Amino acid sequence: MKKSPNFILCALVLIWASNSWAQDAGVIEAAKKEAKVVWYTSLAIGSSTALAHFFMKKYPGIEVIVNRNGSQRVLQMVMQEATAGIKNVDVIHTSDAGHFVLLKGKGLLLQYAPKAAEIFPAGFKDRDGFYYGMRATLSVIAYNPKIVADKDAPKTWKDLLNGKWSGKEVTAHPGYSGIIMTHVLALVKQVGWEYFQDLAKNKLHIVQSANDPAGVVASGERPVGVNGAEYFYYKTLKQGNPIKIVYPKEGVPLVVSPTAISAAAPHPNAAKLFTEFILSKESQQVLADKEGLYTGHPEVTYPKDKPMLKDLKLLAVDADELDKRNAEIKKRFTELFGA
Amino acid sequence: MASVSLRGLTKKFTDAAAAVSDLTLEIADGEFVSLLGPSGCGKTTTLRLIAGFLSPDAGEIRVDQHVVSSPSVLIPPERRHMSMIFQTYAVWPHMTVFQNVAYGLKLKKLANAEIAKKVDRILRLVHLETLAERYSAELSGGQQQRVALARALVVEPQILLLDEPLSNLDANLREEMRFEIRRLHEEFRITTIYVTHDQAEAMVTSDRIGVMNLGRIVQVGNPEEIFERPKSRFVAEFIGKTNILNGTLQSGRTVTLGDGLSLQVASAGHIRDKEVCVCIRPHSISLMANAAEAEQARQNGHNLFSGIIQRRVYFGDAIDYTVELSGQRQNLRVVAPPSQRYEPGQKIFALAHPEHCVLVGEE
Amino acid sequence: MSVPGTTAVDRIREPRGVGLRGVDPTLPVWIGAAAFVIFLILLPLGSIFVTSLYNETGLTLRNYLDVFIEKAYIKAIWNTLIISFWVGIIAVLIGSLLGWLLTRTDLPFKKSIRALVMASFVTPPFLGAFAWTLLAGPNAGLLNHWYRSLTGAETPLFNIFTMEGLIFVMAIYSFPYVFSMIANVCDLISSDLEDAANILGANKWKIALTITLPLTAPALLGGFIVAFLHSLSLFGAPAILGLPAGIHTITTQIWAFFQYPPRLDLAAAFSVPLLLATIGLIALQKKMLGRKGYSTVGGKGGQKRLLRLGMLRYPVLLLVLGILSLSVFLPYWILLKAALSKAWALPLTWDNFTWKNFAFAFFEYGDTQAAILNTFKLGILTATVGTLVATLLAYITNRQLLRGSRYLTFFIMAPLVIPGIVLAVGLFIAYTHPPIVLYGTIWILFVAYLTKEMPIGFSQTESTFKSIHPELEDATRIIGANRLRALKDVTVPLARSGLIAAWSFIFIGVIRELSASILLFTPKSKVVSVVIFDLKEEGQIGAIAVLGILLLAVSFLIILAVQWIVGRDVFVARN
Repeated sequence: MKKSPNFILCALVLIWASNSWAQDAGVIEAAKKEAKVVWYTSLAIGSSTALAHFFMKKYPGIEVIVNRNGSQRVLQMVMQEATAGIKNVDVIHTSDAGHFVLLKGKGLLLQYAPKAAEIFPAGFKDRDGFYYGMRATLSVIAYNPKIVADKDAPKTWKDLLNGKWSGKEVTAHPGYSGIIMTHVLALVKQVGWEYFQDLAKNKLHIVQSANDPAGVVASGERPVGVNGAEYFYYKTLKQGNPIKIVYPKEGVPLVVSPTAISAAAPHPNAAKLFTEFILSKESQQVLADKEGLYTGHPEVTYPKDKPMLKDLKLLAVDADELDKRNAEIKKRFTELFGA
Repeated sequence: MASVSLRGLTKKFTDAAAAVSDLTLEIADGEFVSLLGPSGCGKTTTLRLIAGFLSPDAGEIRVDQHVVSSPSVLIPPERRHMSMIFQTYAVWPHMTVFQNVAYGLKLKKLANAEIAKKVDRILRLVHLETLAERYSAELSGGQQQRVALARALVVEPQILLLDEPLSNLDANLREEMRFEIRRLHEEFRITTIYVTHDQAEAMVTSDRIGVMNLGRIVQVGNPEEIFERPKSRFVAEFIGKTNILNGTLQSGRTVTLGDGLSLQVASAGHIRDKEVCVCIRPHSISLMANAAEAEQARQNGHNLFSGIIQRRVYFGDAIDYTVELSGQRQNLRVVAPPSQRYEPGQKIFALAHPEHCVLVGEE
Repeated sequence: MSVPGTTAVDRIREPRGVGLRGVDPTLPVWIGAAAFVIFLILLPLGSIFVTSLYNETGLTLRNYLDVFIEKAYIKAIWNTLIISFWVGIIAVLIGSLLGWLLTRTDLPFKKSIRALVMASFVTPPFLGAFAWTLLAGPNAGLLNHWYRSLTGAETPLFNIFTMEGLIFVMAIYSFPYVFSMIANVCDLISSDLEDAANILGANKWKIALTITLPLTAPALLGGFIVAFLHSLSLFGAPAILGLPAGIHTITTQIWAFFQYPPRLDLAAAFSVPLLLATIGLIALQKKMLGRKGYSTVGGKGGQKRLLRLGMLRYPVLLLVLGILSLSVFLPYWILLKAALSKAWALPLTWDNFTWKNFAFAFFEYGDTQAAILNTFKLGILTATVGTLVATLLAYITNRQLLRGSRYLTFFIMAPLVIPGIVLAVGLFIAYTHPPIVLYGTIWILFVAYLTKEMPIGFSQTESTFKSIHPELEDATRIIGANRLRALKDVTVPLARSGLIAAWSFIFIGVIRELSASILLFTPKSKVVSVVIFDLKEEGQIGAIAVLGILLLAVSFLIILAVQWIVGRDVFVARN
């Protein structure tokens, strides 16, 4: 029983070593000496833990310390530690691209060109080589088909404003989640703040993480999610929970979540190795297969029951604008929704 | 061995009047001195000052001429080589009798065999040898008292301090322990300072007694002096029962009371005031029914009072009479042997020798 | 038996430096302990104060202005006041009812009921709040679900994500404070006082209303203030129940100030009035209690007779159990169910049963193991150091070893009224830059917990010391032991059970602490309560339930162990 996974593992390593991934043996050696890589990530707990275990199997002796939190909390941590002169984090990953503009501007990121990222499209790469899009997801509408009939279900962002959903909707918070931050900016640019002003009249239940609405919708606590991470809805659905995902025709906010190495990383080699690893085709394929994520890697294939990105109208936002309007968005959202 | 000298000792507690004020007392090497006074007179405070639990606000305490307490110097209690017996006995409830007594020796880092020997000897001395393994909860009050005594003595202190050590015992035991304490003192001759509010205890145990009131020592002397020659009304009244008669001091040793009655007193002594008090102990007064005999005694120099028996209380070993003096507002208490029986309402003569009529100041 | 020679006097004569001659050699220990605790309090509070008065331009009142003209912030203060007021009222109602029933009536099963009150006390309010989201969420909450399927109603019976819901949850975890105050006072009221009214013709219910109740009035007021302050300082419950409904309180607002970009200056300016308000309340309480002479209550207490409830005995018991089911039975049941099921809302059938939540919480989720380790490390460390320091401090004040020890008590007790999150703001400011950088390690949490738990440890040890006659210790010293030795050989062994109680109070307080931890943790120094809070934000219900059960289980184990060691109930029946 035990042999076969090991065998597959070995085979995988061989494939890696032979083609796309000719990693400098020196980095691996140095990384093994460092024996540890600390990852502050906003990728959902299950997904980030799985990825870490995958890495540790590949590189025994290098431990991945996963600290999962909301994008904004990850940034808060990174900044607090930087201010206090604490060197703990190696690899930083959030879903708010604006964070990386900020961190880069403050000189807190390490410039690094992973070989694995060479093949990525321009939209997934910082032009100066500080950060790379590790994954992408959408912010979508979802509902509980046990409670809401398909014909009554909201199809568009505007449908969510209908008074019949009062007390039945849940939103995640841009003050916590980078996905929602991106979502709010995309929709503000599309339809303006008036949209959220109207939405707030429906007395939404406010959760923090973009992953949390999935559970709230599935349990029926609030049958309609007005936003949320598409990959997490998808995963929850796949586990057999009553969820249906809606990709509004007006456009779906696309959230590209970058990864970067801290300039003060205590384990820089392990950090590089880990970055190569998560951007590699194999890891990216795992993210697509197991986690329902989209990626920047052009060779990755996606589950058949998920729409192809090219078939959707995507609403992309500019990282610089995310950075600039971060405080404004948090403040206005809090004013509208109360917390 | 050690002498103790208290000089101008003063201790104040928050805002209230001084608990001890300007107290001076010399205690000789090997002497047993009692501090006697009502509660709140500052006697326990004085003892705790001597022990080093409190530091004086003014004045000093010397042991063998070396200052151990003053406002700037305070040798902590543990370095004074004194022992103390507390009102509550303070027998440590989590240690056996043996452990209690051995504790002080352990602090001196004596060898275990040596400790065992010494503890054994002292326990026998206080008749506790069979109870060595008991805990305090399993001991009677008197036994706890003995443990405290043994614990204090076994460390062979220079000075022994006792704070009302008998006040929690019942009457019989208390009397027995008085003699026990005196016996131990005579055996060891440790300089001892004994605090009590019970004059009988002080009398039995002490070489000298210092009577305290309101933070001061009002009189020091041996028990006889204190009892027979009180210097103030306070001392006279505090030490035993007494009759106090108010009067006016005439020339010489004559005091006139109201309604023309006058009496001779022992000595005018230190008294300068005109208005004085005369102290006559109830047992120094004798009663007579026979007018002729009374007159005889008066001519022999006795002071004579006439009156009526107002009340009689039988005590077994004595009878306590209250005599209503004719022409006086005051009554006279007289303690007579049980053989002398008079009936209430009976006319009576009371005689007191001038030697027993002591002039005292108001304070 | 020989009488000693001159050794004693020789010792006294030993030449020493003139100045040092009379100095108690243990003095540095006392001064050290006192200085330590004053430093512990003054540094964070001073930091808050200073920070609140500065911004980039220098000395300014701008921060106060910014905070107190912003409508959202004013709203948070207003919310907090309303919530705390009602929590105070409800906690007094429940606490005094139970306190009176358990001490003055013949209610059956008193011991078990006391244990349940204890359980309410031990349950971290954030855990209770979490459990109530599962019980009374308006749509999926189990109670509402049952209500709807029973009655066919459309609307929920009770929505926990409201002001009322928040007040309710905070009240059922604040009432034990009132309970213990009332129970203590009722224990002291002698039946004579009640009999006096009886003879004048009052019946037993009238007596309860006209005699017993007024006599407990100071305790009721004190209980109200304690419950008010307790709810003022809670962070977890309002974050879990208030934020989803858009309700901010002072504590959640302070927490929000820490989000990027952090506004420490605003957090500080926001904290100062809270601090002043709590100090004001305490002063008010002292003043109101000081004016009335309730000396009879404090007397030895003559004999006590229990009021016969008669026919009402079992209905009243049912009522009591009903109240306690809100704080204990229902939340514990739902936590257990959530921990053991795949889908918490479905019945716990064999199909729905799983150990996966345990496996996930303990082994898969990266933070847990380190957090559990940190939590227990901090619990043991804080409890041990805290008991030690509290012992020294209680000793100082009890024996008045230092001048001004009365003021020392004020410093020691101050953290009782400083909300944990405010303390954390101060510690964050004080210990994130040189000379002392503790942020990023568990030591900053240690300092926070030590400060926060000091009043509890202190009052425990203080009351224990009060019961030990000082002469027991004087007897040690006069035959040659110094103060520390006396403390070690006599006072501490005699105070054993009180010290063990202090230790466990601190330990339990530490492992459930959230409001200070939430600002002071870093990914390297997480504790279980913070992990639970993180998991909550991510909606990991099963894992939260597992960790919550772990916290509760450890707390109860500690309590049982202490009761076994000490041999009596040191928690609920305090004397």
